[in-house]
Formats: sequence, C-alpha cells, structure tokens
Amino acid sequence: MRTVTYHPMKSTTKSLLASALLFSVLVFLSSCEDKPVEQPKLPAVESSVSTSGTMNYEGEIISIPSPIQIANLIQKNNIPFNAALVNSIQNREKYLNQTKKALNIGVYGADLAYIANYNLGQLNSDYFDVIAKLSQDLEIIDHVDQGIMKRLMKNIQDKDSLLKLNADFFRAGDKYLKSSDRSQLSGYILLGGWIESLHLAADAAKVNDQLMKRLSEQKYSAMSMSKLIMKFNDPQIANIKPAIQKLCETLSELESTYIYKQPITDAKEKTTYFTSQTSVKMSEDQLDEISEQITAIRNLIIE
Amino acid sequence: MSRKISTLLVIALFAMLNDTLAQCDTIANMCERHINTAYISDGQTYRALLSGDDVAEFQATFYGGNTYRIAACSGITDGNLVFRVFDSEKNLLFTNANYSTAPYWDFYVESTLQVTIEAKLDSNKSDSGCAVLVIGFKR
Repeated sequence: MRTVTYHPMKSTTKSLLASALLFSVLVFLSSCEDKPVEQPKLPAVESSVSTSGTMNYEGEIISIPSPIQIANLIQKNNIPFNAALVNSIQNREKYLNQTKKALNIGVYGADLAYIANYNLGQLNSDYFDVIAKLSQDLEIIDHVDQGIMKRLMKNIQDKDSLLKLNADFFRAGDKYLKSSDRSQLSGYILLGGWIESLHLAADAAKVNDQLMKRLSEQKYSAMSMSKLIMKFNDPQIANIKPAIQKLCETLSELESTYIYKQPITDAKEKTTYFTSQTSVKMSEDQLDEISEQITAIRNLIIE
Repeated sequence: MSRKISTLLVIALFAMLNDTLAQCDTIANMCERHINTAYISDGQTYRALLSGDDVAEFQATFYGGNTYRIAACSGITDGNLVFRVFDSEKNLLFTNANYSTAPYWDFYVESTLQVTIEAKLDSNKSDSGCAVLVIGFKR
C-alpha cells in the first residue's frame, strides 16, 4: 500500500508519470530549438503540485478551519463589533503583486465573515466588492459559478446566506486555482484568512475565555501551517515567512493534553460522536506574546 | 518530421491532462452537493489522483462543539471512496467501510481535535481515479 502524503510522486499513475517525463523532455527539446522558456509569473514552489491540482506541497494536504467559525464564535459570545479590527478597504490599492493580492483576499474574506455576523448593511457589499476586485485581478472571478455570484449579490444583506455563499465563493476560487496549477495562490489565501481570523480571535481573547481557548487551539493548525509556509520560495513573503514560523513555534510550545475516548456512532443518523478530550493551556503572558506576533505578521501582510 | 511528432505528442499529453483535470472538477462538483444548505463549506476542496492501493492523506483540525460533514467521492457515482479518520495517536475513529462506503458522514466533535483523514479507492469498484474530499460544518 502506498501513501500519497509521504510519497506524492508515487501517487500519480504510471502513465501520468511517464507522460510528465515525456512532456518535460519535449519542452526542453523545444526550448533548445526555438526560444527560451517563458518565466513563470510566480516563483516556483518547492513542491510537486500534482497534475490533479491537489494542494500537495511535498505531500502535505492540509485543512485549516474556516475563518467563518471563529467569526461566528466571536458574535455568539456577544463581543461587540470593532471596526478598527478589520483591514481598511482603501488598502486594496496597495496590493500590486499576485502574492499580496492573494494574501489579502484571505484577509478580507475573514473580515467579511466577521462583518456579516453583525448585520452591518453596506459594509457587507463594500467588503465583498474588494474581494471581487482582487479576485478579478487574479482571474479567479471569471471561473466562479455565476449562480454563486448572482445569489451573493441578491443576498448580500442576509447574514446566513452571505456566510454560506462567501464560503462557496472561496471554495470555487480554491478549486479553480488548484486546477490551474496556481495552488500557491490558494495557499496564500488560506494563510491570509488564518492570520486575520487569529487577529480577530486574539483581540476577543483578552476579554473572553471561549476565544482564549479557541486561540490556544490554533496549536493544532500551526503544525500544518508551518509545513505549508516552509514550501514557499516567494521573495514577496520572505519577510513574512520567519515571523509565521516563529508564531507557529510559539503556538506549538503551548502545553496540551489528549485523552482518547471511544467514538459513538449512530448509523441511522449517519453521525459519529468524537468524545476524546483535548486541552491546551495558555497563560496571559503567552496570550500577549502570541497577540504581538500575530499583529506583526498581519501588519506585514496588509501594509 | 520529428518536430511534428513532438508537437502531436505534446498536444496529446495536454489533452490527457485536461481530461484528468476535468474529471477531478466534475467529481468535485458532484461531491459538493453533499454539503447541503445545512452546512457551510470550509472553503477548500481536497484532491488526489489515486491508483491501486494508493492512500491520500489529509490533515484537518476540527473545533470542539461543532458538527462537521465529510463527503468523499471518486467517479461519477457515490460509494467509490473508502475513508478513515484517525486521531493524533493513530487511533481509528471512523471508517465508512463499515457503513456501505457511505459517500458522506457527520461528526460531532466534543473537544477540538487534530485528525488525519485517509482516502483510498474501493478496489472492488475502481483501480484508478481522482479522489475528492470536501468538508463542511453545520451552521
């Protein structure tokens, strides 16, 4: 049995591998005869992005929880909306390269999830417009199902619809980027969204235990994010990369416990209950340190 | 002459790769239907090309107090992909192999967990193809 995760090259079928090799040889020969191979728009990612479009950075396929979940938790804990926390829509003009645009699509996506929870009317439209414009710049929006776009426009003021359609929009963009060999941009969107949701959680964690707990649980996502960020060789994130590595290390060092419990399955309801228990400890000093690191990274992303 | 053959081979290769990508996209579109209106997508799709006994491995964090739905698809019909969920200590938490290779399953997570999801083709139904996982959480 072979495992894709640790041996991504082995995961492709033999015919695809042979074809890829043949393709490389042909491209090489062709380039020798005619003209130099055109340089890619973005620096190569240190990985084998597979022909399936899998986000398969050296074999790691990772899932980071949706920023919507943290935004929902903030609202459910009755923490008032704070306009100073979201990235200004005027900042969009600053983002000139693909990396910055992708990172900030993630940031604005997390902000929209936060804003949507407070029924702030026009702000919903303003933030979606920014996401749409940046997505247009990256040629994403033309590949998103027009049905999603129409429903978004129609339901932009309806919290529940907006949250779902915002997620559908990001999934459609993710699908397009992965199937067009631009998985690294998908990774940047994921990273931007993660940092922004941590920024929102860190502020709320100062006054709310639930959010403090949720922030400490980023220890688990930090391990995945650390692996992802290490694969990027983009000079545009050269200053961000060590800061994220440091944050991931700080989060990983938080003390945690895990107690396994046998899951319970209700086959009729097609539901399994995971009853294992985890806990992560984070002191006030650690919260301050982590918050400072998040702020520093966020500033690098949105500046 | 050799130049023409090379060009034809490149065209054939692109056609094959495009076909594979189109296959993955079609499967992803079908799989997304299992994340119905009661669920919100996590904003991503997870894909891998599998052959024979290949296993695709996905890392995920599930927050406590939430219900998640995992949909797992390969091919144009349901029930072609076997998936297993392990905790961080490699304890098997769930496999759809015990439930007629159900194309989706819900998970209520009491306490935040880091899990590994492994997916492989049902060897009785397929020997190669695109595996797609989509994850949603209950509103």
